Amino acid sequence: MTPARLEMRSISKRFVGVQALDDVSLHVDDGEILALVGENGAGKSTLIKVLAGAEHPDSGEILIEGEPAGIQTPLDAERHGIATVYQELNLFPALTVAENLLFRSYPKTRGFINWRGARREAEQFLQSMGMDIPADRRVAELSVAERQMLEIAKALHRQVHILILDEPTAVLGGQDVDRLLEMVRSLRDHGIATIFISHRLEEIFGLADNYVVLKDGRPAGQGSIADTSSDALISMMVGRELEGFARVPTQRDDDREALRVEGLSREGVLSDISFRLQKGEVLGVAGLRGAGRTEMARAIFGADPIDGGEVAVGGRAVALRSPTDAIRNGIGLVPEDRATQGLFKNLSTAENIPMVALAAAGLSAVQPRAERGVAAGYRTSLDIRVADVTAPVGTLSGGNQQKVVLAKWLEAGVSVLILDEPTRGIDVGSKREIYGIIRGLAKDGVGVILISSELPEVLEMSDRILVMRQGRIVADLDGDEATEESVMAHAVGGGSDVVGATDVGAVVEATAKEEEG
Amino acid sequence: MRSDAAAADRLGASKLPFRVPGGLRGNWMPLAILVLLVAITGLVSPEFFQVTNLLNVARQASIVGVIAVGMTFVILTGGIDLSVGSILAISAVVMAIMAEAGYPLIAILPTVIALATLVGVFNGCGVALFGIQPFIMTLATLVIGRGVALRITDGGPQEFFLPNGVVDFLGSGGIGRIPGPLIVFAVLALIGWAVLRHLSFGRFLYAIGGSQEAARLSGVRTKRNLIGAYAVSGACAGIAGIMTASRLSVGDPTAGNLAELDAIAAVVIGGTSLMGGVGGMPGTVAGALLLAVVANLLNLAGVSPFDQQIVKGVVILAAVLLAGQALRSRSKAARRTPEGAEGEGTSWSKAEEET
Repeated sequence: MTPARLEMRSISKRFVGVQALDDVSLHVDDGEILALVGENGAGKSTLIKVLAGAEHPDSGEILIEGEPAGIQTPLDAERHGIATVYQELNLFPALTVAENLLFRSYPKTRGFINWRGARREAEQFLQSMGMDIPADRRVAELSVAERQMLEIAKALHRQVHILILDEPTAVLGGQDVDRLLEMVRSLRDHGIATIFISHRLEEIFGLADNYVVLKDGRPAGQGSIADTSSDALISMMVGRELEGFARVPTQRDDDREALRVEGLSREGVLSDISFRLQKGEVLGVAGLRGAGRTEMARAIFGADPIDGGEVAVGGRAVALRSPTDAIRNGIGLVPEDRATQGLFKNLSTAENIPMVALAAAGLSAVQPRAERGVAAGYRTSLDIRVADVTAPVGTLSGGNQQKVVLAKWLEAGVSVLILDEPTRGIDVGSKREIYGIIRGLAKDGVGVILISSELPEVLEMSDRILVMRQGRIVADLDGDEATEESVMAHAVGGGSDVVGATDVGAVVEATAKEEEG
Repeated sequence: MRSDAAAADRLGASKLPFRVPGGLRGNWMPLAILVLLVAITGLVSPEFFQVTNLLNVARQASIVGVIAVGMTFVILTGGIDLSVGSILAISAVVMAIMAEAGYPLIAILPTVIALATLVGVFNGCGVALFGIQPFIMTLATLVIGRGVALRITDGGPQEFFLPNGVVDFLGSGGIGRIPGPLIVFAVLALIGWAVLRHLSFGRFLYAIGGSQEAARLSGVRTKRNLIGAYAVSGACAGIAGIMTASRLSVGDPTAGNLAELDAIAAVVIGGTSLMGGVGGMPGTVAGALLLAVVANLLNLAGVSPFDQQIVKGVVILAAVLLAGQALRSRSKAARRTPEGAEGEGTSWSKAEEET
């Protein structure tokens, strides 16, 4: 038996405080598509970064055709014929397709780049790949799908043997997905070894030959796609414990409506979002990356324009054209990107906390002394670990920064608070304290929307759970009855009870057949 | 929550060991350089400390200083205002023409300042509403404004005759031996400091400079506050124009050429970051004085005007480098304390005791 094209053996990698990869092994042969699956944060990205030479493993080795390959830098990886297409594309938008495709290897005549030759070469190459992208078009003018394909073409132009695709379909719509999958299939037929990362189980079942499941950085299962089912895969992916936490149901006030959203839509991003939120209720929102959760939060908050739909606060319909409007109506948002959207790192803790209240008051006096007093109060009540409330807030740790963001909204007073990934990148102790703050808010009658990629967090905190997929709400589950399996099944769209609802015909058929068998 | 906070106010206030003077945090370096430079100057040429000379230095600093007060507002938002020199010229010219046409000063001053403010609003609208980069927007206004000033005077300076105590005060007079322009500068700097420090408008400018998106998501009306910042800059440039015209009783359409560069230099030497969100008025005052002291020192030392330019450029570089270094080491020190404390009960409680 010939050695595999690529073998990763017992790869381990530890970051401060996290075991990102723990004894992970996999192998891919020429002409094989290997699906790498796992929840957000399971270690998939770290694994491919190791393979691409962007991260160095603490232990383990990478073998190419049975030979140890010392991959230290991205250039080493390229030399071994490994090409990675990341989710964030690495194209130059101002340059043309040909200029991007042939980058670093332009045909030259006497030292000068032969642009006519370059264009011809690019055209021929794209044609041979079956891609109809004009070679002289600027990348900025291409659709997302075309850029994705150009990125793959760029990788292939450099003699690849191993192609890694990191969620290539996450940002694509129906038809584009089909085109891309078709292309990946034809690459397999040309003998390229592919590692395919996707959250969409339907794609995996329609495309991959084998799979590797990661959970918390550890291998949680592997085998042939033909011998498994989507339910089996989901159960391998989920099942994490939430550290130091026990569920306490919040007090719901069923008579009083905090927020009602009806038919909220935004072309290509959100379609027909409708739900009700009661006062004192914690409404979890689950879904995979790119499912539209953040977009929904921003649309309700007035931060992004909407094409249609209505929002009612406390039973009264309101027009939310800007965050200022939303805040005036008692809605708050703790944004996903704490560093650039939630905080003013140039200002102190004491100057950050009153910002929303100050903005709501319009032109008014600022009393630094009173602000320091207010900040000192929150330092005690929220246990914000800061020695000096007049020091720039950028010097605080992540958990304490998030508490400052929360204090900003507490100080302003809200009736609805939307939290977008409030505990991302925060240590366990601070997480627990933030859960406590959220629960306190609900107890005070605030309607809370909790968006999180951590399933255990959503399950433990929420009275009800909305699951989103591709810009829609696909499930509205009771917090007591929902399980990681049921939420994940709705989120990936591959669970037995939603198969009929998906529209990717051929792929779904494959899945359904699998489940019958 | 608020009553909680009030209760903790007394608790927290007693914990604070000392208060850093408002706005001076991180800005002490330009002041230190200023003091050092004054000391050296005094040693090299004792005539520096003669009252006449000191007042002369202050007078020279005043017009650039007044422009820099407004410039501080704009730079705090992460923007820049290149049009101030042209606004100065338009204001000077309009004042001269109105005076020659026989309007009383009580009509001239509000009109000129309103006009200058309007030009600032024009800048602000371009930046805030149409998303034009501040550099480009105000560069266009610089060119347009200079053209307008030259056009309405047909290119030549417009002399005017306005015997009035106020004009005298704004130009070459003063109270006792204290020059009028210096008093105007001081008053405007004080107002500017109060607005930045004690008015929500000022706080919003810092917020916008820190992160415009975060400001928007906190409910700050970023557009109107941005327009406000450029309006303040325009108004200050207009006042500088009135001062310039009053000094020589002339509205010169070429006045204030390159004044924007001196003003920007004063602000930046004062520790206000061109990235926005960091700095303040005390630094700007120090920066404006520093520039004037350097010029005066070189004059006293008999350095040729050509060499003066070179030295001035080097001083700007050195001041900004030193100020940047001071800021970095300060924020590094600040970072060490809370993070070292994070998750370690002992060191945290120790930090608590220290404070």
